[in-house]
Amino acid sequence: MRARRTTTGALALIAAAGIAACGSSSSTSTSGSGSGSAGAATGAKVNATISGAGSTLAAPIYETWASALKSGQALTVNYNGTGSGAGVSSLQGKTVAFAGSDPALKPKDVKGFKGKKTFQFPVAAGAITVSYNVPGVKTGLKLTGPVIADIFDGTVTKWNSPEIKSLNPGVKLPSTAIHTVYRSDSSGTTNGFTTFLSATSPTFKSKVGAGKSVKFPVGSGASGNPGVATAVSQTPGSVGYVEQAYALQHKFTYASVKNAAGKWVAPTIPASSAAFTGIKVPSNLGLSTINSKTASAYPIVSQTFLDTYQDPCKDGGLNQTKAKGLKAFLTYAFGAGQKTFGTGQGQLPYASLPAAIASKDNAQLAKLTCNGKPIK
Amino acid sequence: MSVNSQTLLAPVSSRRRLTDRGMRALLLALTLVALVPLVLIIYYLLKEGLKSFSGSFFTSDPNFSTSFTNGSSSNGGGIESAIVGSIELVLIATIVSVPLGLGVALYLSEYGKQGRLATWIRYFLDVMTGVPSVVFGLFIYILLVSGSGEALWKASLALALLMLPIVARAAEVVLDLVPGHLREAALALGAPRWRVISKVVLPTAIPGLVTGVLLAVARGIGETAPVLFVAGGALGTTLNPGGETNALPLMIYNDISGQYAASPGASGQGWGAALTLVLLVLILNLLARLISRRSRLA
Repeated sequence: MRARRTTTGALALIAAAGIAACGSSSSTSTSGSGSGSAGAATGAKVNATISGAGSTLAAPIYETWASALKSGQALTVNYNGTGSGAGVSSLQGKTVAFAGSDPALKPKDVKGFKGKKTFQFPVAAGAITVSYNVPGVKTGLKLTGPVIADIFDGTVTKWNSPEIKSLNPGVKLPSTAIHTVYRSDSSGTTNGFTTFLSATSPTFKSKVGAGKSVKFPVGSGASGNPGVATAVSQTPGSVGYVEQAYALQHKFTYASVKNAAGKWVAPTIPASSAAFTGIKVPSNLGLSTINSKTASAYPIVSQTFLDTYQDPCKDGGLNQTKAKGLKAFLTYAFGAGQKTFGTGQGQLPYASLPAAIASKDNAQLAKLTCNGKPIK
Repeated sequence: MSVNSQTLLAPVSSRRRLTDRGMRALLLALTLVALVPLVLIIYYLLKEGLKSFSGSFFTSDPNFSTSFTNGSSSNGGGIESAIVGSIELVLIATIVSVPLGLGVALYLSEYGKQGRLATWIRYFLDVMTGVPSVVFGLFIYILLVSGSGEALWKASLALALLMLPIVARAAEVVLDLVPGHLREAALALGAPRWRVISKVVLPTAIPGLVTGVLLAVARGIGETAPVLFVAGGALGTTLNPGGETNALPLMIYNDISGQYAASPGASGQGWGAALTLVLLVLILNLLARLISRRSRLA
């Protein structure tokens, strides 16, 4: 008799737990953390959860926006910084609603979508810094594209080699060996960096080439911008290429680079924004801010895109609610979201879109459909 | 003859004693060496993990976004979403795997016995126990995630697949321990088979069954591989089984060598999550021991 009571009790408990788990599914996903940010709460509230993956260069942007939208609107955005290459693959596999990708989609990427029409939206641009950890060298070195290329293809092996010395008269350089750190995953940051190096150094172009995953002859690999930043901070004598937000986060010293106009420019927000000046915007918005001709622009600035299906319901497997959420997120991205960039306290160190490009984004956003009908 | 053996015994005995002592010392040394990693693990877990333990560590979600903004500092936040996510994951996995596993065990011990089908089922269960956990994750990924996205319930299903053979085999062992004369007595009193099972066999075996389930839960909560690419890894706490979720093993991976590795506070958060996970598993194991000690069978 006693035993029987225990059994029924246990069963009742399991059942209750089951009901509790199911019952709470619809309601309580956004009860959290206050409502401090006013800017986000403009549009109608959309109670949805969408997910994205890709670019680690842009991960700080999406994470910051997600936390602003969570408190401002009832919108949850989950973003995984897996690298630009992996992000595009995830979108092709329909495991995410959008991909973050620094380079514009190439014909090979488009083929991977099997004829389904996609949109790419420029979101922002970030400076790819040449960050180094050389004890004793606290000032920003001056480096040219060809010298950086020589460092990363293994031609220049010592910090006090004549190539670096002649560009930096008066700087005391140690004889430490140079250890380069590159990205091991398929990366938009690598694409931006190697595109610039290939444009300025013909030897690098033939020896290594440009692309999302290239084979560097020397150095060691690390995964994602976070991985490279960690490796550089832990290895004296090392040099790596990371987006500026990561360089600032780790308080790295980084180089000024000679741009196409022959000027020495340090990576700053105004110097990144200048890379948008006089840019050609193709009809698919696949622009490039690498190696800008503008005199005040930092030369290694990478744009970053948000990629998604033109019809995320029919082709991307989203339902009506998620499609609405995606649209709300994009509306925020090209509107209030752009105001989160800048040099001020609490702002993100990225270059915001010029108004002309943001309005092209919004025009394309209006063409987003769900099962052929416009998303309201 | 006797003189001979006497003279032989003396020198052999001292050599034997030496060998014995030597071997004993060697085995002790090997045991100590084997203990070194275990002690080190516990030492580092406590040393690094306790640093991040505080009230808000368990009641706030991880947040790394502020670490990139100009002039701000961030400690990465707490691990609430990971703890809640892990508990939700195993709760759903338990709800799925326990009735199924118990059903399999009842069939094997009450009906199948040593029959050909039962032997085959047992064999398959053993094979399933040996399947690497990442394969369950891959299976769910191909079947459910690819094309529609990651979700909590999908990760739970992967864990349920992993726990099912453990529950079934543990439950069968316990059911087999129920003395045959109890069943015979009940049958002799005219009780039908289903009454014998529900009123005699199951109540007698319940403490052992609970122990088996708890051990399976302890195994499931620490599994990393299936969760890694099926759960999604959202930073916020979610109670929606259809949404993406965080989990303790996932949090540890992302903090130490994944996407948050470079963020300030991430490594401390990872250690804290690891210590929390170990404590959870320890509590489950202790509960299982306590219940099995009170059992009438074992």
